[in-house]
Parts: sequence; structure tokens; C-alpha cells
Amino acid sequence: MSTVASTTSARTTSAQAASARATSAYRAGLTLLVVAAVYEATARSGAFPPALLPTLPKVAATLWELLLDGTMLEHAGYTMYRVLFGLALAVAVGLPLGILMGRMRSVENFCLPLASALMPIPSLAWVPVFILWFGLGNTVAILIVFYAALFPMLLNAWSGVRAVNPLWLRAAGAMGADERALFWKVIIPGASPFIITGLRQAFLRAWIAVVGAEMLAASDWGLGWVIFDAKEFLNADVMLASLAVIGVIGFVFERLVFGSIERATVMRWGMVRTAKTCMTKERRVGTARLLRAALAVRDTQEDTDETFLVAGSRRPCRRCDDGTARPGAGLPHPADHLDRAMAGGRSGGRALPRGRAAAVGTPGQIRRGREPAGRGLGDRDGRRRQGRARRLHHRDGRQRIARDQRHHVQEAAVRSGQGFHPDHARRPDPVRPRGDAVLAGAFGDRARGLCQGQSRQAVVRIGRARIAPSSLRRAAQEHDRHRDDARSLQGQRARRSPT
Amino acid sequence: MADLAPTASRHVLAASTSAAAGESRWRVVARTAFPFLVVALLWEFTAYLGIFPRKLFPPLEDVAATFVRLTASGILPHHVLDTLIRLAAGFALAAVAGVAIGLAMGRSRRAEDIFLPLVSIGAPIPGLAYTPLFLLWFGLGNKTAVLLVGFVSAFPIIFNTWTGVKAVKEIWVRSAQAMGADSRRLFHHVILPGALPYVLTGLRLGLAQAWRILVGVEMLAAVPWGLGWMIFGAREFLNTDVMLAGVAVIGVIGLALEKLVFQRLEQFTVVRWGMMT
Repeated sequence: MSTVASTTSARTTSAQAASARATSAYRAGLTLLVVAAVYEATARSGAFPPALLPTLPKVAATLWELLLDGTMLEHAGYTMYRVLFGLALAVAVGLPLGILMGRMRSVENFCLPLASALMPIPSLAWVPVFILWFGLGNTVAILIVFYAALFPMLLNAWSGVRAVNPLWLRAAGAMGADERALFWKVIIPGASPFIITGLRQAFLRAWIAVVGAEMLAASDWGLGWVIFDAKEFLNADVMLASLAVIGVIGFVFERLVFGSIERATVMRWGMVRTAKTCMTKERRVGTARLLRAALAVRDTQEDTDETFLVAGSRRPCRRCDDGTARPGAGLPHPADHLDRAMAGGRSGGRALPRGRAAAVGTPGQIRRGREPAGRGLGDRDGRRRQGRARRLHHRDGRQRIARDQRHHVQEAAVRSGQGFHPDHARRPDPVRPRGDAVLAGAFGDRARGLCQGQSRQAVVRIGRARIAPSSLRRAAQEHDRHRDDARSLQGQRARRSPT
Repeated sequence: MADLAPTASRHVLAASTSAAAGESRWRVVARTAFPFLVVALLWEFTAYLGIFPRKLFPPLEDVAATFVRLTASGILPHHVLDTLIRLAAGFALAAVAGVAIGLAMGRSRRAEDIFLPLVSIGAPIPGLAYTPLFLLWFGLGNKTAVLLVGFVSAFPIIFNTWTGVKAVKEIWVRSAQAMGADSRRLFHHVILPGALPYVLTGLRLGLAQAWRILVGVEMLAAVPWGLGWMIFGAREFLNTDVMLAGVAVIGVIGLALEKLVFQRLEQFTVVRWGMMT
């Protein structure tokens, strides 16, 4: 019965998602239509001279004409030639240099200051200088593109190599990989997400730079030159037409070319967790369902912590759409936290638990990390942090770990709104949001007790947060209700799972 | 989303400097200065070799002398001041509009559906490509420069703010709601601090974008004062030394914007609130 219910609910949610998507598409189309209509109305109203504000049919006609007689294609071809040539140069220089910087300390020490001093200079500032040195024409545009694209490539390759998980390096070393195998099989795939990102950014910068360079270093062909030239003759329709071509080419490259490169490499190698994106989409899950799910997860899986947070996201993921609902699909496993914490990286700017909390969660991996580090293993930062975790591990022994793990579970329970730990208010925790939200969520088990014990007080204080008695009562009631639900839910799970 | 990656590289950068903190200060200074010395020596060598005319490839002391001369006569500060005012005006425009639109997009489904197509059409077109159009519509001069800078640098701000609001953990929102937070307090205490790291990243990217575009725009929009114009104007008289001095100043300002303004801001907000380590 429960299976039937769950499939039905899955079907309704997917149907809802589909209808929501349809509404979005409809609204998006409507917006574009309205904007186009407003533009058209303004253009036809005659408030502005038609040379400055041509009507859309006129722009389309101009575009069509230019495409037909081949001039637009030729301009686009010249621009593409400059961009791709410059980009290829930048990759040919930036990629090896960046990898070298990541692997060799001396190269890094030499190149990094230069790169960080040159990077803030906009590429366009060099245009006049380059024009003086190399004359008008292709050379300037290509060099400007090269300059613009070099730094994103260089810095991303460098940080990609630095961010390669030292555990992988060590594991490969222990399995007898030589330098070459290590480089091709571990470092390059490991750094590939960064490198692809670098390539993308490099292209974006190059695309911006080439338009500017073509405007300033007026050669006879190129999309930037067309636009600038059209200004002289007040040909706003030509300008808008080439603007559209520029936008389309940029979009095609960004989405299709780099998107497919990414799919062919990093995603196939499993370097990017597609599941990570699942959390960001808005979900409408009631608090009740969330609490129930959290309780169910806690009762069945003992070694989880972050999983609690994700309990609410048990739904088919749009990207990895296999229809199965997996608890914990949205957030990385604690082991991944350790990996990332050791690499000194963060995922997309979101704070992750780092250092002790993450390390303590997986003592096994830390003990593995005790083996002597090989030569040139790169990540000083990771090693330092790992050292700290290892010291903790040794100093306080297993007992401490166990306690911390208990604490960790408790803390997760607190975060998921299932429990309250008195330490929590005192302990500085990088993941903890400021203000009332988490403290509000901190009432689960204890909400009932606090509710009874301290109801005399007008306001309950925890840490810095003040919680009104009415809210406290509500939380306690909710908690009681869902605890019973969870028990039954767990029973269902047990009955379903024995395969 | 690709815009988010600089955060990572920046952090590795910060980590590398903090790792070097163990060494003595002088060693660090010497290590950083060494590559510049090498490049400067190479430059001087090439300049004095006489392969290129001195007018086109001036030795560094010429550039330095020009810099001092321009600074003393007050010309360079005037250029810098005008450029900075333009930057501030354009960026303020972009920040206000971008954050407002981004927040609206993140919070309301309707606003997202309305703005997203517009933003995703406008964003991939390089900012400078709009310049001639803006010049036609708004004429030469300051207004065009400021508007264009604002327009172009709003895109990364919008995107990042939107992502940031979307990335606020559902559980924070829900627990705050369960505790009876009204939408104003929800916004103020949960959404805003939660989205702030992304918003700051967006502002940082927007400022960098604004700076890059501004230099180009000043060359094209024929403003009377401004660093970009100074460089572009110097080309007519083959004043390579003026151009190089201008490029150096542009680089220093860019570096200062990044290092002083935004790192401070981040220290005072997100790091202090524990949203970011």
C-alpha cells in the first residue's frame, strides 16, 4: 500500500513540476513578446528618429540581407578567426604554465606575482600600446585576445592542480603509479573541472576583448568593426543586427561547445557531482514531511550527519533523473567534506564544515593519510589541515573521536530541527547561520521539556536568540506529532527493505 | 554559474599566502619582488639595445619620469579622479539595480520568469558591443559611459544574487517560518545573510567587469578626462611613456579595488557572521 502511495505521490510531483515548467516557459515567452511589442510601439510612435530606433522588421530585413550577400558571414568569420587564434595561443601558453605552477614551487613563486600584477589591467588598456607597436590589423586583435584569455586559463589550471585531492595522489602512488601515469591519470582528470571552467572564462573574456579590439584597432573586417562603422552612418539597424549575431555566436559557444566539452570530459569522468545542483531548485515540502523524513533517516542510518539536512530533498532529481528517490542525494557525504576541506576548496561559495568536524567524521581516512607523503605532492594547505586532524586523532584517542562523533550526530540533529545540544549555542560553527533560524530549528526533543520547564518565563533565551513561548509550544507539538509518524514510517521501511 | 569559479581560485590564492606566513617577512618580499626585477631588467636591456625606436619602447626611467611629471602637474590625478567618479556612479547604478532584480528573481517565481529570459539574452553579448548603440542613443560623453558601465556590470550581480537567494538552505527558511517569522524578518535575518556571500561575489565580479568596460568606453566615448582617454589620446603623439604610465596606474587601481575594497567588506560581513571561513 505504501508503495502505491509513494508512486502516486511521485507521479503527482513530477506532473506538478512539468506544469510549473510549462508556466515558466509560457511566462518567459510572454515577457519577450511584451518587450518586443513595447520596443516596436516606441519605434513606430515616431518619438525618436527612425534612424536611431529602427523597427524590428527592418532589423530582421537588414540581418537577412547581410546574411544573404555574405558580408555578415565574412565579418563573423574574421572575428572567429581572431578569437580562436588568440584563445588557442592562450591555452597553449596558459595551460602548461598553470600546471607547472601547480606542480613546481619555483615556477609558482616566479609567475604568480607577475600574473596577479598583470591581471587587473584590462586588456583594452593595451590596445593603444599594441597599435603603436604592431600597427593596425589582425596582430593587435589576436594579441589582445591572447592577453584577455591568458589569465583565466593560467589561474584556473593552477588552482585546479593545487586542488587535486592529495588522497588520490597518495593512493595512486601507493599503487605504484609513476610520474607520468600520475600526471595523466590523476592530476589532469582531477584538475579538469577547473580547467574547463578556465576555458569557459577565457572564451568569455576573449569574446569581450575581441569586440573592443576590433572597434579600436579598426581593421576592415570583424563584427566589432561593423558595429563601430555603422555608427558613422547612423545605421542602427546594422548595429542591432550584428549585435544579435554577436550574441548568438557567444551563446552557441558557451552552451553548445563548452557544454558538450564538459559532458564529454568532466561529467563522464565523474568529476562533477550532478547531484550537487539538486538542492538549489525550490521545493515545496511541508515542515511535517521534512521532520518525518529526517526522523526516518536518523533512525535507520546511524553514521549520517549531513544526511539529515537533505532528508527533505528525497525526490527524483531533474538532472540524474532515474526516478528513484535517494535520501541524501542533495548534499555530499561527510567523506567528501573531508576531501574538500583538505583541498582547501569550497563548493560554489557555500560554507562547508571544515577541519575538525569534517575530519572527525571519518577517522578511517585520516589514519590512511598518515602514510609518508611522496615527493611533490603539492597541497601544503591540505597537508596542514590534515595534520591538525591527525593530531587531534592521536592526542585524544578513540574516545574523543567517539564523543565528537556523537556530538556531530547531535549537532546534525540540531540542525535538522530534531534536537538541541547545549554546547551548540556556545560552539562557534562555521556552518551555523546567524540569527534566529537555526536556533529556532534547534527545538526538537528539548522543545517539549523547555516548553514545560520554562513556561513561566515570558521569553526563552538560547544563545542570542529569543524565542516566544507560543512558537516554542508549536514546535513541541509538531515534534510530538511527527515522532509517532516517524516510528510508523520506520516500520514501513523495515518491511520494505529486507531485499 | 561559471562566474562562481574565481572564488575558488581566490581562496587558493589566499591559502598560499597564509601558508607562506611561516617564512620570514623579508624572504616573502624578496620572493615577490624577484620576478618583477627580472622582467624590469629584460625590459631595460631590450630598450637600450636599440632594436626598437626609443619613442616606441621607452626605458622604464622614462616612464617613471613621465609619471612623476604628470602627477606633479596635476594632469594624471585629474584623469584618475574622473575615471573613478565614473566607475563609482556606474557601479552604484549596477549594484542597486542588480541586487534588487536578483533578489526579486530569487524570491518570486513570477519575477524570475519575467527577468530570466531578458537577462540571459543580454548577458552573453560583450558589453563593449553596446557602446556604439549607446553612443547613438545618448550622445558622446559622461552619460553614455556611466549608463553603459552600469548596464554591463549589472549582469554578474543579478546572476549571483539570484543564485545566492536560491542557495539559501530550505531548512533555515522553514525553521524560521515554523517559529513564526514574518516575511520581513525572514528576509532580514535568514535570506539576506544566507545569500550575502554570493551577492558579494557578484558585486566583486561586477566591479571587475565595470573596470574593464570603463577603460574601453572612455576610449570610444570621447570623454574630456579619464585614464582610457589619456592612453588613447597619447597614441596620436606617439607618447608611449604616457601610455605605459597610464596602464600601470590602471593596473594599480584595479588591484586596489580588489584587495582593499572587497576583502575588507567581506571581513566585515560574511566572515564575521560565520557564513564563510
